Amino acid sequence: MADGRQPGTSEQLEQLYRQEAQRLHYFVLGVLRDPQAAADVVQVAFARLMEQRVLRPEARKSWLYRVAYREALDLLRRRNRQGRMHLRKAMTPGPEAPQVETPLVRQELVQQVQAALEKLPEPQRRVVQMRIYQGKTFAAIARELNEPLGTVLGRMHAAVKKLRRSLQNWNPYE
Amino acid sequence: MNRRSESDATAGESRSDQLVWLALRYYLDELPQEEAARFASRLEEDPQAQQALAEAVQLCLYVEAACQSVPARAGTTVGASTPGRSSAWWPALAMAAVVLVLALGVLRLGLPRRPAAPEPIPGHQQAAATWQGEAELVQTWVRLQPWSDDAETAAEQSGEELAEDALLAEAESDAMETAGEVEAAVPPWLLVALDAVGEQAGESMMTP
Repeated sequence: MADGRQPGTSEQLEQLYRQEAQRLHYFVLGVLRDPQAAADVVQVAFARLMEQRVLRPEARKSWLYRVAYREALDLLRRRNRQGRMHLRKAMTPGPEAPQVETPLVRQELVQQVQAALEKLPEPQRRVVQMRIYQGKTFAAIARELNEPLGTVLGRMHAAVKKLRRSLQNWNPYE
Repeated sequence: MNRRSESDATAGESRSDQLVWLALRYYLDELPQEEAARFASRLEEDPQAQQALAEAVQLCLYVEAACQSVPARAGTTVGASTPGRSSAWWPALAMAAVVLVLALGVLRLGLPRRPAAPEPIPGHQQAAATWQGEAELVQTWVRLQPWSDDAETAAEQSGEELAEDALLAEAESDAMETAGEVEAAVPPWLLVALDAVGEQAGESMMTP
């Protein structure tokens, strides 16, 4: 309270750190393939989160991953630029590292995802929206749709497979 | 041999699908505790698992972005589960129009239409005539606005100034329609002005 934050904010952030720090680290590691850089990015993302005092608690996780992802891509971009400047000798992320997309290309990816979502059968698209966009659990979705949990999971699994297929062109890991 | 490589590729694809599916549920906190702990320990050493997690999270981030930006495009249903986002600009536009019209109304009342002598001189016939003329002018303006039947005549008869006022009133009327207040056709500031002008004109006329 003394620092002007809402009550419980520090505790919530600590809890979020305990829950997400390791997972976020592995996510960034999967993007950067550099443990030290991944640790730095995670630290930056949490530092930014600390500054976001008005962020809704339920929005924090997604925000955290978005910030970390952007930081990781910025880092890759800087490295690629430096790599080109030094004739690809220094600071390059490694032979398997993905190519970095420009922001314009990423916007195109968003449109690609929209198109892929629109191609999904309605029941699958609905589950994807409810789970990823609205943040409802699979159990809650099953209750709301009055469907067995297995059906909801099956729809999500099928949708994820299709989304992956339709996005393989941009996926740097395939 | 081709058949074998195809089946290998399919198996690899399937394994990759399974891994991304596992990673997705891990990211979404949808794995049972034991399974989540197993996958977390696998992540420490397995670059494929790390890549799968990276892909799953990116997929979620892009789906979120896609659902958020879709309402801006007409005729699509993706993201339609969050009603109201696409029409969020409409009340803001209405509010801006109302503020603009009120501001212009205040300016109009404060500058050109204010009489040079705020207090009429008792018994002065010229002042009384001025007030009377002013009241008639405003009443005529009200009568001939777009909410009356012959707004076009108003613009023709009263020149550019009245035409501008008609446009203002039209904008205000549109804004009020937007806000669901169509019945309030005469703006409040104009009613206040009419009352004031009427009272002063009445006083002047009754003064000997």
